[in-house]
Amino acid sequence: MRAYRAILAGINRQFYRDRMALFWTLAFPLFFVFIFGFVLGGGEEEVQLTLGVVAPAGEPLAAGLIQGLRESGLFRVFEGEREAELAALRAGDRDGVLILPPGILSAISQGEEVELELYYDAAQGTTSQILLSVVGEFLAEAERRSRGTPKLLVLSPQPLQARKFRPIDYMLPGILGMSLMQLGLFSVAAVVLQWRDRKILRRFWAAPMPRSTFIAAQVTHRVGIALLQAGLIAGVGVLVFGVPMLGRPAVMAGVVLLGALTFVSLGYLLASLAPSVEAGTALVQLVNFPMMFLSGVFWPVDWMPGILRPVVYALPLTYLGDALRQTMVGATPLVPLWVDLAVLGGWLILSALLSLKFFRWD
Amino acid sequence: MESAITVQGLVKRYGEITAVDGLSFSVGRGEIFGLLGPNGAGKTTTVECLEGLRVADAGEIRVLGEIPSPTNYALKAKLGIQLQETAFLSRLTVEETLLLFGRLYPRHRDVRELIDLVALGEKRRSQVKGLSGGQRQRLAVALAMVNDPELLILDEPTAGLDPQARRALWEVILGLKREQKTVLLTTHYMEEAEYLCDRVAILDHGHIIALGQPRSLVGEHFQETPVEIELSGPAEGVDFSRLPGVARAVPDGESVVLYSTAPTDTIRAVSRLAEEGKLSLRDLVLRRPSLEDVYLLLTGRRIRE
Repeated sequence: MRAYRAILAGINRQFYRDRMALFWTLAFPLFFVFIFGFVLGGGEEEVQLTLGVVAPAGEPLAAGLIQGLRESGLFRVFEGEREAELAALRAGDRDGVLILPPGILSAISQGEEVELELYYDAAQGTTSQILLSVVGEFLAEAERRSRGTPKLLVLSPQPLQARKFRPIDYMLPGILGMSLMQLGLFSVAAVVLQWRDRKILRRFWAAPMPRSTFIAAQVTHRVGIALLQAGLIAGVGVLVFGVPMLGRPAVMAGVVLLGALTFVSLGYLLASLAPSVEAGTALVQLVNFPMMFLSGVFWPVDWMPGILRPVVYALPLTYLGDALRQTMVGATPLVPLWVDLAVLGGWLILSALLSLKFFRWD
Repeated sequence: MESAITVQGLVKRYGEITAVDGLSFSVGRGEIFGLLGPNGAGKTTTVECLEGLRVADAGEIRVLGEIPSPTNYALKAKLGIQLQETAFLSRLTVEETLLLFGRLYPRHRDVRELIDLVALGEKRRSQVKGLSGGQRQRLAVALAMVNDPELLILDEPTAGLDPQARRALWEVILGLKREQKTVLLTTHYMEEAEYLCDRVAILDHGHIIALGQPRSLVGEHFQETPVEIELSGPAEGVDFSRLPGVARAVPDGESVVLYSTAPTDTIRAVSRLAEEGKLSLRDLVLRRPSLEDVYLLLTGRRIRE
């Protein structure tokens, strides 16, 4: 225990005295948060969707609908001709175009089904999903009210606003998961390999101490940094971009801890397997890349082509991202939380055992 | 005398290469023992097998009565180890480094005292990355002493030191002997071995080619004493090899080295020739043969090339 504490204190000092490393470790993931936050939008007006409406002339219900859409505060509404609005959608000036057919009022009063066409840009995945659900909700609400009350189409937007789910909300837990992964892979593997290369590990080897003591101190140090980093990312997300934190703090912290442990162990395993610094760097990249792009950090997993699914469902980051998303912002789970935790735990045990077995001092 | 180290038929191979090929020697308690040889002779491999950092392919090793292995922590706790290449955590200070490693052992020496002993007092609070090569080397030796070990194994402790720092470290090592510690060291400096070691083993290609006290090793191999004379002019008509006692005369520029079995007779004859004006003598040195000469004689090579 004394040896463990001595090593941990030494490593901590070595780390915080290296100002450059300290800065980059803590600041780099924050850059990601800021970049995504500003590009994808965290500000209030970003939530407003731009909707073009094409309405037949002289249709009283259409005017009422448009009025309702405007007053809901969810849309910036433009009225125009069909061709002009669709052109604006193609040019990216509209998030969607809603086409109201002639004769809605008479159709509704006769109880007939009316089809409203809603055009959207399929390439704008998240925005489109939001658009579809918001418009759908709006129409359902409008319809309910049109039947129930004489006060036609006067909407209270509250039930719709609860569904506000912005890209940054989806992205933030993903960025957190990714930074936990990269902290584990890059900094652990880099430090272990470098220390091995420079014969620093050899000197520890000569001391009367099992390797597990040394590794435990290293892991504690790294997990500590991971928690610090996670706190910073979540803090910036909440304070700067207003990302909601819906989960219980203890549960969220638990998921972060498990994720940190898993990836730190994985980093150790890679370092143990790599024969040299160069090979180690390549190995880490080999693991980093698929995880970064296939684990649903930047876009939902179900956008991935079927052929990649088995890979997607093998990667631990898929589960960490999913667990963080459901516990932090209440996103729709990919798999139940216990499955996420079980898979992460499995990866943790496996890589911890293997890295203990393969760890080399020189 | 009870042995601190016994090695019987030690063999260590790296793939096709046999680094150490059947070494046998023992080191008594309280002795300073030197492993001598050029780079690649197998010194470091031998030392690492003793430290338990490498596992021998064959042979029996006992260190302080125990079989060394990577997990023999009881033995490691009693050993003071200085590795050939040591790097430290670069941003820890000298004092922090010694304290860190001291805490890895059951007990440790007073760190400040140790720092003064290796003359790093001024650098106590300096980070390791700011130390010179010689200072790092002294820190490495201090680190080997931090757990107050019974047996110190020092791999090239004075490599890369300037002559003054080397002398200072020699005194530290002799101080260990006064504390009844046993020291095994490797070196390729022959004068260091002669000055420090009670006994030496000379290694060449993984074999011991000579083993014993430095003086008696030299005595075994050299009956003659080199008498080196420096001339200021030509010595015509003098056949040095026929002077009394001279076995061989080797001209070397303006000097001549006379290997003599009776150096007093030889010197008398040389001064008589000088008085008679047959040669003009500038200088005369009676050298003692060294381990360097022994190595040269046994291998036909100089140790540092």
